[in-house]
Amino acid sequence: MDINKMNHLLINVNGYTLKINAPVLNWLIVCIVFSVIFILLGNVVKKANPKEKPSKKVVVIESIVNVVLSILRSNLGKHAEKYVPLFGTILFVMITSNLLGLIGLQSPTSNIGVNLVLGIFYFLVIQYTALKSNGLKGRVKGLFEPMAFLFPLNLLGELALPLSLSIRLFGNILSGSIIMMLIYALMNYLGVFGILGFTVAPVLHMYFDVFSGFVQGYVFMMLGSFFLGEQLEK
Amino acid sequence: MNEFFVKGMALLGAGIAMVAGFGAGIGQGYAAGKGAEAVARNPEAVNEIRSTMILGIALAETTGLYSLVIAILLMFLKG
Repeated sequence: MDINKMNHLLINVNGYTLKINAPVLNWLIVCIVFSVIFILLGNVVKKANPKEKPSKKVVVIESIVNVVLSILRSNLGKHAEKYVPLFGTILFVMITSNLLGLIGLQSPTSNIGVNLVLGIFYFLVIQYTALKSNGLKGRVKGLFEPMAFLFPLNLLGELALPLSLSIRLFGNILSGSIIMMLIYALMNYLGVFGILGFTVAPVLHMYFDVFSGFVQGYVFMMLGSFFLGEQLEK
Repeated sequence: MNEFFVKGMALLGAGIAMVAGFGAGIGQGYAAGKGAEAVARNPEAVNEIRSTMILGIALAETTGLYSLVIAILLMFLKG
């Protein structure tokens, strides 16, 4: 039960102690690294001349953006291009942070705080889009459809979105990291025979970190764009 | 009611909560089976079927994960 003994960073500011858990710290690092990378790559693309033959870098960046765009097109239709920066960033940051378990760090997404913030962010984006495309009157009217007595259910459905998104991600990544922790604890316990763990652990890492990480990153982006697409005008 | 009774009951509750994995497993298996059927019927659409199936499976997993979160909370807060 090591979860209460998670390593954390303590910062002293004027006598107050600020405690930052390792997942949140990793999240900050991933975000900063990605911001720098995206700004640098954005400059490369901005300088490129569309009339000339594209350089290797530009081709790679374009193909990455096209992958995200093709996923988004099925849900958002003609609005897809506007939302590529948002969902593309979420996809890449999510996949990278899910993969951090491979190098022995704690995944940022195994912390409920990080996930809940992302879920609430989605909720705000979706509600803002709904208000913008339907207007306040249409939005309130939409909650009373198809029948007036379904209003509480509709309201609950809207509020459940951030919770269900964040708990899905949290449960998946945390269960993977707990199982890996148990495997390593078992290796320690078995002594010499613990060497057998070296054959089992990589396979489980492949499933719980790589496969699960990619699928959850994809699903998180896909569901967000799906719920956003429902609120956009056609 | 002593401390150990609460602890034991919390751990028992965590175990019982994980019974919800039963339903999630059935749902995922059903989705995967239907996905295989769809690929057999229409092998060209395998990419679309795969992405739809993974999305459906991940959604079906949610109920199981709710119970997992409840079990984890019971274990780490009370156990």
